[in-house]
Amino acid sequence: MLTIIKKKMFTLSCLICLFYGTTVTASESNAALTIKLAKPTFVLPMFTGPYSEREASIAPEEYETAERLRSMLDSDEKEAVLKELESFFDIELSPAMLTLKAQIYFSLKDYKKAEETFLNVLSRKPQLVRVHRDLGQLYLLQDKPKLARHHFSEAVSFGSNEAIVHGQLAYLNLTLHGAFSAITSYQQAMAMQPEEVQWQQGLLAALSQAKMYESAQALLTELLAKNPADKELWLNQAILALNTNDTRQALVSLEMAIMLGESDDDNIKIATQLHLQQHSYDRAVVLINRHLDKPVLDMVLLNEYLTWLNQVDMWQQAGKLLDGLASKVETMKPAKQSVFYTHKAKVAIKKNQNKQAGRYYTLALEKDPTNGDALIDYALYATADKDYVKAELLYTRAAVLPTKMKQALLGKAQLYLNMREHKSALQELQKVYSRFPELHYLAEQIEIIKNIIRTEVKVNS
Amino acid sequence: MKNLIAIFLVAALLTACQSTSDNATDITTLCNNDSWTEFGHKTALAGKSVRTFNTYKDKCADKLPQTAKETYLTGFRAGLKEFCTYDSGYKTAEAGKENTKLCPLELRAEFELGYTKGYKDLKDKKNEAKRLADQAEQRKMAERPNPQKG
Repeated sequence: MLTIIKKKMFTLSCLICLFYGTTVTASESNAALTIKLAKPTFVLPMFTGPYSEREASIAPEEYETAERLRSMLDSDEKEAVLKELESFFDIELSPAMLTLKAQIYFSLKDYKKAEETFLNVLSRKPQLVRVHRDLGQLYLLQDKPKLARHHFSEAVSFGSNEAIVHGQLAYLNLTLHGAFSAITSYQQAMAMQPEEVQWQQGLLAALSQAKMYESAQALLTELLAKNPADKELWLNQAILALNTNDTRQALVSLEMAIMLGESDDDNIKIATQLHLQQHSYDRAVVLINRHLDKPVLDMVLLNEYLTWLNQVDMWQQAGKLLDGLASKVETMKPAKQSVFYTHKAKVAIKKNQNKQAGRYYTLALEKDPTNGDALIDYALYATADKDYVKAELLYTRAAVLPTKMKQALLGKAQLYLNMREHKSALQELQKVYSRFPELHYLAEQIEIIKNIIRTEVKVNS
Repeated sequence: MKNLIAIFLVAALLTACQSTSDNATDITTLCNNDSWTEFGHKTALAGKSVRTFNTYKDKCADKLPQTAKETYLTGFRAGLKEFCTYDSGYKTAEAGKENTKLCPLELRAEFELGYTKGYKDLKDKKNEAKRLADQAEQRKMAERPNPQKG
């Protein structure tokens, strides 16, 4: 009766699978690229049904009671069965009946009593594989992976040959002890349940993490041949490709995943970035537009895209992108509007629309006076425009912001150097160096400026 | 003869009173101290049911220490390990006591073997005693003079 496990399974969504939760760092050239996969679901049998004699013998004097309890369980009278079992001292019950009691506690979510009872059974019969397995599940549910791993491992060492035991041991090994300790167990689980997706994915993750890319690729190719419409597999293919520096294959795989419905922000961003790297700008812009076409505009995302577009000198596309979002600006919070106008200013500079650029920067700083990027960019623009007074003022404001202090002080020093105000430049550099002693190169710069000042003094005297 | 019977009755009554008094003392002592582990141990070794605890629990009522059951069971389990052996099974059967199935299933095999052997030996002894008694009876019968012959 206890074998009706699968019917009683529930999803353990709290488990974090290393495989899907894994972000695989790409090669050096793609160091910033990480593809995210959705979290997997692991299934646990919540209640495994009434006792089966095959697992552990019940005492002959319990046969009658066991039969009665079995029929009560068939009628889903768990509480009544528990009440009857609780009328006995645990020592009066055979390990099999005690296991049943523990399983009912488990199914009724009384985890503390379930744990105590399972441990009680094991203190009497340590070789009961089913109890190790159930206790392992219980610990997994309670997010106690080390204890769970111990009991799955015990179950295997006592001869358990259930795929779920091997699979979960593999998963826990993968999370606790690394990929190599997981591969064999995943293979065993897969040998028993070749079609079970979680074992396939687990093995794939383990092989990938163990950097056994050829094996991982072989498995993936086989899985993709069977399930070409599985976007997760295409994402895995992309991860593998990035790991082997095959950017083109990574992009193809990501595009397949996107075509199949992948919509994770980070993955779309990676696809866009790869397109920009591969100079397929049109597709990148299509992805950006599609990605930003949401009721609430993600300014962080927009900021990133615009920065990338500017980096590859695609300011016209950046301008179009901003124009397309103009209607949403009024609904944004002032800080987001500020970011928007900063980018508008940058595009305006590229278009040599200087007055407009100044207007957009002013607008950006009106919306958010603490927009560090706007302050620095505007200061640089003002410097280029030889409006040194404004630039100095902007740098002074930016220097107050902890995240922009270094950049602002250095910018100000550079501004003074441009203006040949060496003493002021020296003061600023000394200020930066005292705040940021890790900037070793400044010592030399300071000495050079000191020499210039000394020479100037001599010449003037 | 009547006097002798009276003496026996008085003695029996006194013994009963003494026993009740001892029992009362035991309970009072047990309720107030922490010797439950030892009590559990002794209970198992005596081959008594684990439910013996319930009697004391009822009698102690509010005075029952919170940890009494747990410590009693610890002692009882330890006692069972000593009790559920081949020798113990053998002795239980040899003493003509019933097998109360006190031993949990996982500890039962050795005890059962001993009990079966003890039971068989006891039966053999009884049979042997009966055979000897029958033989003696037959011998007596054979030695008795035949009145018809006389």
